[in-house]
Formats: sequence, C-alpha cells, structure tokens
Amino acid sequence: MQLRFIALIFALLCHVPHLHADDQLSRYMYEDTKRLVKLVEDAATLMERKGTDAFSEFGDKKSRWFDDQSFLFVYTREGICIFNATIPDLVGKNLIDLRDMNGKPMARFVTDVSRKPRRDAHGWVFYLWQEKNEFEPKWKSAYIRKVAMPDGTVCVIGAGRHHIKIEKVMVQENVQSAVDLLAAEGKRSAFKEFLNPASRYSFLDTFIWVTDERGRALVDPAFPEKEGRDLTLFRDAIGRPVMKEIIDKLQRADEAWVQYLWPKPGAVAVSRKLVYARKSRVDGETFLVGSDFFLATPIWMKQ
Amino acid sequence: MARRPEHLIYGVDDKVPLPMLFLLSFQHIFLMSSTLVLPVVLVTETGGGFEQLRSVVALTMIACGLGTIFQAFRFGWFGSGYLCPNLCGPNFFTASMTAAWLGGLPLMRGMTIFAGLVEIVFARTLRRVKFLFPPEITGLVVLMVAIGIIPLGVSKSLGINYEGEPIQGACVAVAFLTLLVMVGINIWGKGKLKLYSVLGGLVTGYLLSLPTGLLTGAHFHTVAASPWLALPSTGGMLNITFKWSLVPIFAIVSITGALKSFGNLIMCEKVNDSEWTRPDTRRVGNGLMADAFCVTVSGLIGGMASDTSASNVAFSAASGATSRYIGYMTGALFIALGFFPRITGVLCIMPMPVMGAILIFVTCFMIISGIQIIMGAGMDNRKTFVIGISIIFGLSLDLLPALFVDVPNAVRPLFESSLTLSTVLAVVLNQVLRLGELVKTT
Repeated sequence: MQLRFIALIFALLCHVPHLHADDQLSRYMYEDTKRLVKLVEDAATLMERKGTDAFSEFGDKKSRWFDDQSFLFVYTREGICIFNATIPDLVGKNLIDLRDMNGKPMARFVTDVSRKPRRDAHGWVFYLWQEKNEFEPKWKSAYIRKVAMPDGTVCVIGAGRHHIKIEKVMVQENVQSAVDLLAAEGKRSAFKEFLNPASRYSFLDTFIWVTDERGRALVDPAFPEKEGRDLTLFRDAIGRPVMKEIIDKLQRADEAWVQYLWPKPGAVAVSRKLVYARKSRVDGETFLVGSDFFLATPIWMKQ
Repeated sequence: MARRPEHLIYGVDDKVPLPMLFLLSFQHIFLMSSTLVLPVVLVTETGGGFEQLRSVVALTMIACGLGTIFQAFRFGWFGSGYLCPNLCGPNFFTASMTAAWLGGLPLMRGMTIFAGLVEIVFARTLRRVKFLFPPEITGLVVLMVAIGIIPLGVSKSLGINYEGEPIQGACVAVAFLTLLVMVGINIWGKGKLKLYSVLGGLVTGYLLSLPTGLLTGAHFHTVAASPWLALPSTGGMLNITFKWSLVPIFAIVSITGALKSFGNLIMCEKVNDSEWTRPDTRRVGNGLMADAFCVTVSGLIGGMASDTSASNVAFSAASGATSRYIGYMTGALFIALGFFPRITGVLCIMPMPVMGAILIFVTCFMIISGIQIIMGAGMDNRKTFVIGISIIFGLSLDLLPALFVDVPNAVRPLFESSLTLSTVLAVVLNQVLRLGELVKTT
C-alpha cells in the first residue's frame, strides 16, 4: 500500500512536463524564462496546426496553457485582439494604440514581431502593466511568437509574466537593435530614441548608453541632458576601471562582455553586473553602444 | 581516552577491508564532487576557456585530495587523525570570484594563500583561547554549520537555482525517492548495508534522472567529449599576485571557514567518542592546521580554495564508518581522478535533486549532533540565554538580512554569515554572563 502511494506521488510529480534542452530554450539561463518561452512556442505550434480551433484549449483554465502567472493572448498583424485567455472583453477590439504608463506602444511592439521575415520569428516586449487587483504598475515581460495559421493568416501569439529576470540574450538583442537603428537612422534620431522612456530600448532598469571611442558619453541615461561625461573615470565597487576595460576589449573585437561589482539600489553588499557593448561605425564616426544589468544571484547564496 | 561508540562499524583507527574501503571512498568522492560545479562556474564566469576550466577543476581536486590526506594524518602539530574530507564549499566562492574578476587567477591564488595563512594563525592560537569554546558553544557551531547547508540542499531538491523559478515536479520526485532510499537503508539496513546508504541513493537518483529528463544525452555528450587522461596545465603557476583591498573579505572568509572546520572536527570527535564531553583543542587545532595547509596548497597550485566538508563528516556518522584509512583512500582517489577528466565529468553532471537529497540526508545528522552536544553540556539558565540569544540573532541574519543593512562598517564583518554572528555572540555572552561567577570565585 505504502509503495503504491509513493509510486502514485512519483507519477503525479513526473506528470509536470519537463523541459528538454533545445536551441530555443538553451539561449536562456533561468528556468522561469524557459517555461514562458516553451509555453508560447508550444502554443504557436498548436496554432500552426489547428488555427483558431486551438483557442478553446487555450481558454481552458484547467489546461497546461493556464497558470496563476501567465496566460496566452493572440493579435492580428493590425493589432486586433482575437484571443485573450483572461480578459475576453478585449477580443475583437483593435488595441494598436494601447500604451503603458511611460507611453510605450506595447501592442505595436507586439505586432511588429509579425513583420519580421522569419516564419518562426520571435521577440520580447517589456512594459509597465497594472493588474486589476494591484495598486501600482510593475514591469511585465512578454514573449511573442509569429504564427502562420493553416489558412495562411499571420498573427502573433504571446504570454507575459512579472518578475522575469534579465537574460544575457535580451540585453545582447537590445544592443544589436540599437546598433541597427543607429546605422539606419543616424545618430541624431537614434540618440533621441535611446533616451525616450517610451522606446523599446529601456526596460527592467536597463538602458542603452553610447560613448565615443575615448569613452565620453554621448547618450548618458544617468544624466540625459548632459553630454561628454568621461565614463573612463568610472570605477566599480572594488576599483576596477570598467569603461577602460570595455574600450580595451572593443579595440580587439566588435563586441565585448565585461563583469563588474556594484550594489543594487538600496543594498550595501555588492552584486555582479554585466555589460554588453558593441562597436558601431556610422558616417565615419565610431560609437560604443552598450547596456548593463544585474546578474541574478543563486538562491542558495547569501545576497 | 576516547571510548568507541558501539554503533560504529569501523572506528577511527580500524583498518577496512580493501573492497569495502573502495566502496566507502567512492561514496565520499561523490559527496566531495557535489560542489565541483563551483570551480566550473568560477572559470566560466570569468571568461576562462575549456583548458583552463579543466585545469582549475583538476587542481582543485588535487588540493582537496591532499587536504583529506593531511587531515587523516596524526603528527605532533599537524592533522587531526580523523576522516574529515575537504571540498570546495560555497564558503570561499564569492571571495574567489571577486579576486578572479579583479585580477584573474593569479590574484585568486595570492588571496587564497593569504586565507590559508590567516587560518594557520587561528589554528595556533586556538589552544590559548580554548576557554572561549565550552561544549555548548562548540555544539552551537556544529548546529549553525548544519543550518548553513539547508539553503543549498533544499533549493537543489526542488530544482530551483534562482529566485522566481518554479518548483520542478520531476526534481521533487527524484529527490524524494533518493532520500527515501538513503533513509530506508539507514533505518532498516541490516549489518554493513548501512555503510552504503549514500551509494544506494546515488544509484537510485542517477537512474531516476534518466526517464525524468534530468540527465539527457547532452550531459553524456559533454562527458564523452572529455579526454580519458589529461594532465592539468601548470602554465602560469608562479604567477601569483596580491591586493590589499581584498584582505578584509578573505580574512573574514578564512575565519568563517575555520569556524566551520572547528564545528566539523568537533563532530568527528563526538562521533568517535561515546563519552565525549568537551573538545580536545590541541587535536582540533592540529586539524585546523591541516585545513589551513590545504587552503594554502590550493592557492599555490592554482585550485579553488576548499574547506572541510560537513556533509562528508555527517555521512561517516550515518554510515558508522569513520576510519581515517577511508580518508587516505578517498584523498588518493580524488587526486587520481583529477587526471581523468572523463570520470570527473560523470561526477560533475550529478543531477540537482540527487545532490539536494544527499545534502538533506547528511544535514539531519549534523543538526542532531549539534543539539546533542549543546544539551549534553548540562543546560542551566546562563547557557540557555547564551545559546538562545545567539541562535535568535544568527538566524535573524538569514531570515531577515534587510534588518542589518545599516550596521556600521566597523562591525560589518560579523554580519557576513550567521555562523560568524552566532559564534561571536555566544563567545561574548558566555564571558559576560559569567561575571558573577568569576567575582564569587575570586
């Protein structure tokens, strides 16, 4: 009897789908990010097979598509909501002008994924979102995937979650996107966009900064109105000249990762911070474009 | 004179038959390997390549193996003569990482050597300050060492590495059954079967990890990609640097590590002596000296710093095999394995819940030992407050770290770990609350 009981517990626990490492998931470091990505990727695969017939499964609150923290939504390329698992009132409405509290056009960013060339294109959208029962908005991170349904209609499916930790790949893609914008639109327009809190370039307390070759700030999130601060003077919590190290690395390569130590806001103990920077040449000028973020500390380590 | 407890199958000086010696040593090796992921993370995070990674892991294993052998020695001033293996525990991880970021492996080496020297000083002064460590305080140290393992054991059992991650059902299932097998063998195992409780758990855990997807082909490909035999690189071994700004952090980590080893060695004494009443500070000091040499050797050869392993000591108590000859064999095998990366690879892919279950299993023994030592000291009102207040404030640091954000810099080192805070508090309170007694005596 006892053995049967143990076998039953084991079977029940193992019923929770585990994640197999594949290319898409292996890009991410944290399990909660992987789960969100897997949820959306699996839902996209189902939609590619069943089209809108999959919505009845997505809306079943007892199904794997539903949990306390995330739910699925689907938009057309034009921004019309065709499925929302928790707010059915939104279905049929065009939400393309929906913005978050910073003015970020989140629905437009979501539908932008459908205009990417790859059939299975994906992307992250970050926005400040206030849940019904909460007083203040919090950062929400949504993973979006382009879907081509059996009838040829292209739409996007996604799911969001609060408290997603910043992944290296998110910062890397953000900096690459900033470099692309700089090349496409020139420095004046791009710099303005980088400093705009409603742009896609600032999220979850990370920002894009730009310096010249010598490390003098051109886009300085700490002092948006000021230009020319010498960032090579910056030293981390243990005296490491971070910007000098970035410049050294970028003299030998087009991209660089540098770690340094800095206390989190309000904390005394230092934490690990990671900078990703790329070198970009536009109209004969060389720019260093970068962004940094705090790495998560393992839960078993004292903060 | 120590009295050998009846439940011990192989006491500290007993010779163990060779096949059994191998099996027992392998179980210790698996436990010691459970933290080899730390040098892997350290080298990866500091941008080291595969060759450097392999070398640092191998050199760390060699240093830990030497430390285990040093500890089993019983010379005049060196070695406790106990089975008290070394592993590269999380104690030194943050400090080593900081040094590696700041000045690469040469600085990590230099600061590790410094930490070893600090522990040598601590070991040599221990006998002069033995009045500070009566049995109830040594019991407290053992208890707090055990409590320090809880976060690692529980988080690994649930399959969680970072805050916000979901509990993984498969991990819970594997951890639960692995733990069940170990507990079952330990409770109901007849005769010498209980020597193999951890081995039983390991086999169960690895086998269950295959169908549950916790061990996949990718893991075995990683192992297969490693060579069978390889010598660790000795390039740059003489390249050692030092930085004054890192002295405080390494001094604190060294003292914390020494206190942890102090607790582990007391646990060894207690396990091997049914009439144990108070620590033999000379022997414990000799053990700390061996531990300090191990840390210094780690720095000299280029491995990550290590300290004595609470889980191995607790396992030896659980299995009833505390022979120091197991220490010699374990140390020798661990050194040898450093030259066989493919075998080391199998140890390094130990699934999280297996690691977690083993840590929980051995921590149970340490917690009870700590409580027994405290209670065995004959509690009175003074001791109740010394131990109670120290545990309350020590645990509050772990439970509510935000409370201590504003402590002045001068005393901040005390608040780096609950073990340090509770030990220092207990030592001070013990002296303060004895004031009346001292006055009466004089």
